[in-house]
Amino acid sequence: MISIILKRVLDSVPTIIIGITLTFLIVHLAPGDPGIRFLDPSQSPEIQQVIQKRFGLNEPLYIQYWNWVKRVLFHFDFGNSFYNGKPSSEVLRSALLPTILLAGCALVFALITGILLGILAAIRSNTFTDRTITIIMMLFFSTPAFWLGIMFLGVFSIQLGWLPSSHLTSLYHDQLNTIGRFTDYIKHLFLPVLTLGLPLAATFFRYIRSGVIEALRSDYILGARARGIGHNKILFRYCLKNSLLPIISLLGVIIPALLSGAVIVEVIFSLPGMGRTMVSAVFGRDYPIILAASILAFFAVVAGNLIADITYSIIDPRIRYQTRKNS
Amino acid sequence: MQAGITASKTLLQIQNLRIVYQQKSTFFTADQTVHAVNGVSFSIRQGESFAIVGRSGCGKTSIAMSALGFVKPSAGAISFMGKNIWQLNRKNIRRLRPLIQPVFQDYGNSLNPRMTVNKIIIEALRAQPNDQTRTGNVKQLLDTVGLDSEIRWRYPHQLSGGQKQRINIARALALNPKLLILDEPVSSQDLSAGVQLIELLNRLKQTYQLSYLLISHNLSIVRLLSDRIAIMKNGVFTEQGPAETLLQHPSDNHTKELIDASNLTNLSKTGLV
Repeated sequence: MISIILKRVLDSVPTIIIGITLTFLIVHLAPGDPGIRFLDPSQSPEIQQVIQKRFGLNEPLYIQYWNWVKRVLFHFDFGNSFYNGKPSSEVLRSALLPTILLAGCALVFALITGILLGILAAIRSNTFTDRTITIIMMLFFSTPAFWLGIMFLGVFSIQLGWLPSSHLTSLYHDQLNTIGRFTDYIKHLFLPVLTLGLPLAATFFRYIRSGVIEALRSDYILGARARGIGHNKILFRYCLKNSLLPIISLLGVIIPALLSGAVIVEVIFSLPGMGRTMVSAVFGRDYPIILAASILAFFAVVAGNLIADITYSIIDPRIRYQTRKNS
Repeated sequence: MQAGITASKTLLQIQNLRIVYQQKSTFFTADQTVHAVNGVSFSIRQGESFAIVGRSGCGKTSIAMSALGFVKPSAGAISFMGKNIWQLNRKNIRRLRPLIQPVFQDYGNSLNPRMTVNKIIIEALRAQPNDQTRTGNVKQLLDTVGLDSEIRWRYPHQLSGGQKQRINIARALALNPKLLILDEPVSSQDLSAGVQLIELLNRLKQTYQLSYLLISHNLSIVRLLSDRIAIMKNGVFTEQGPAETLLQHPSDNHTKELIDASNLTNLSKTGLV
């Protein structure tokens, strides 16, 4: 197992290197210059050059790349933000918590909703219940997150005034007791989690529904019923366990979707997370922040896939056997 | 053996069984009614092997599913050891279920891919009702079906087709059944593996006084395993009787067609026919 993990980790190194290099090139070759953001257009070209020199942007691109790689690899230094001068790692650290909170809650919500509704639709297959749930879930599956977020904001925050429309906490958050703070977080996260989680829940729902229906029709389930094993045990111990396998491999792919979804949701609900930080960094050509955030995103995606692969091989003996044979 | 079977008690009795499937209308299709089984009656005694032979879609698997308690009959009665299984409450039907065990055609799909052979058989042993004596441990069951005990640490995907089918039989035996419903048990096997399985099934029948309800489309297989045969077409039995009499003197044209279609020559080479 350790050799399989090591092999997978080494396999992912070229992916990360290629990904980061491409991001570096795209960011630097895109039109626009970070220096322009600080200057009055009437300032002389000499002053512009001074600023470019200050940020190290006057060097040829390959030297900039090499300097950046050296800094990252040997000093673990991702550079300072062009705007506030703070180290990139510090900027991202403060933005990471809201994103993890949002993406984590959305993932948990999506898993619980998708799995429960998937099972319900499968055991009531081709009935009114199944059709109603399927139609609703397909609606969420095909709705863009930005539209869903705006609709939720319009209805629940503006029209009904039930939930806050922006930020992670209220202004008086620090004056609240522990329960009050917890409730405050839930109120602020409720709509963003729904926006990010519902399309994801619909994806899980589709896999679970078809997986459970297929499992229920298989001979080993008929055999288990013939042996007098109870309905619930058959459903949760046999059908669900086997239907969860595609979900595990899906989790590796879900992480990029969660990150890109978080960008949109954080912008709509003004959450101070990675997504919003990255959007402002892109608009402001804040290269160190963009590159550090990209590295983080690449690692998250690679780690997600790695965890999914390992979990899959632990759970499914067929994959374990195949992997061992290949390696 | 025939005299012994005649004297033994009736295990399964099916009277005037009708199974109708209703297919609800969709946007493109109207309501559909399929008469899968249309007034079928037969009985199986203890230690007897009864075969239903017919082409695909004639309704033979519907009878098996109904006897297993999975498909509710539209009319008629299915009695097992004198009890109408469709009139029993949930508790009693769960008690009765281990006594009727299926062995499916698709041996690969009948074993949970995530369980080792050991776990598959232990799970069956645990499913036995408390008031019955357990047949034995996993090793004994594997030995009974002619498999090495080391195989118990393997997963289904690491086994051959013949081994998988033997595991299915061992698992069924773990519950001390009285009746095995064999749905095309050797149809996915090659000739030699099929013959070995038939020998095994015949040996088990003798040893444990098992009864078989054999579902097949192949008369050459049926001939080696059954005491009585019923020929089925479009939901009804066209002919039934003792195996040898029916195969040697068929009265119905459909039976003659099935005899012609079955590959008896290949099996005759094995020396069993």
